[in-house]
Amino acid sequence: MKVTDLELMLFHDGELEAEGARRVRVARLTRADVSGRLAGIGQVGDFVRALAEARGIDPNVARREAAQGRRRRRAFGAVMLALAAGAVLGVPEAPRHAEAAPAVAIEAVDFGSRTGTVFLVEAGETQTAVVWLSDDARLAGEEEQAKLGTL
Amino acid sequence: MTRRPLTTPLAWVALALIGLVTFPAAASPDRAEPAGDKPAAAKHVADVMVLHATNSKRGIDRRIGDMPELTRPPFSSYDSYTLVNRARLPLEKGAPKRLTLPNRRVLETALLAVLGDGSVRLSASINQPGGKDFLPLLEVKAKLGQAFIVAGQSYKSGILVLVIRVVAAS
Repeated sequence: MKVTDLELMLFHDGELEAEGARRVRVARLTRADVSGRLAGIGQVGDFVRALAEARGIDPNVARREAAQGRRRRRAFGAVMLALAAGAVLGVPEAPRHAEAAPAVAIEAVDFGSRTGTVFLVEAGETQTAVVWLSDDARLAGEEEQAKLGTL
Repeated sequence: MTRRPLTTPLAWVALALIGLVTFPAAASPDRAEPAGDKPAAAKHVADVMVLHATNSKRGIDRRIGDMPELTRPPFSSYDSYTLVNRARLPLEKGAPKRLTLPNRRVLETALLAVLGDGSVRLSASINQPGGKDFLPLLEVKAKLGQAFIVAGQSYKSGILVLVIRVVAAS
């Protein structure tokens, strides 16, 4: 049974209706990909919330809107949120250019199967573009690296 | 039926022409494969800093230099940043360069175009050898000296933060 990113985000936020939440709970227990995606959403969520708190933006609404838009951009992964004015969400069909931060423009980004976000962070008098993706420590080979001790 | 021997001058000319068509790189050094490009040809390089963000109460590594971004949300959710690696990847058209990250993923950068306004367009991707790509594609237009950041890879109780800045090759 397919579990969409939007359902996972709603579930993560505790806003998915009861039947949907039950399905996600079952899927989380039985499917590694679902639990991994949920972990990724949680990771991005923590990151985005910290930024949103500093800027007075509701991250949940924007994340869901971006997730819905993902279906229309089949070739590209979900762009979850551009929190800062002038941040660029890159899509192949109609890339948009940053107006507030011409020094760096993220013209296209393919998050693949992951969730991610593009935003700007203040750096003194300028702003720095940031591309942030969710990750799964298991996929990153973290455990393997810890064993090898090769930092 | 008699066959014309291959040793006639005409046959040798024909063989030479076939060779030129089949192996153009051998006849034209400018069209050699990326691996054979001369480093001196690169006018721009991608200066890549690989940072490890953790909450280990060590502060920000001095070698990172002045990066106010790290003290602002959401980066300020980590209190320690360590410079793990620093590399300069020459940017040349058609010659992507790779950097192996501490988590064994591979960052690949390539120059797409040099623009007239003093900026360049480059691509970057982060691949997992034998696994899923982490970041299949990123295309950025950047002015020289201006950094952008790719963050979020899990690594040893923290994340990796890649600070990428295009600079003129020295």
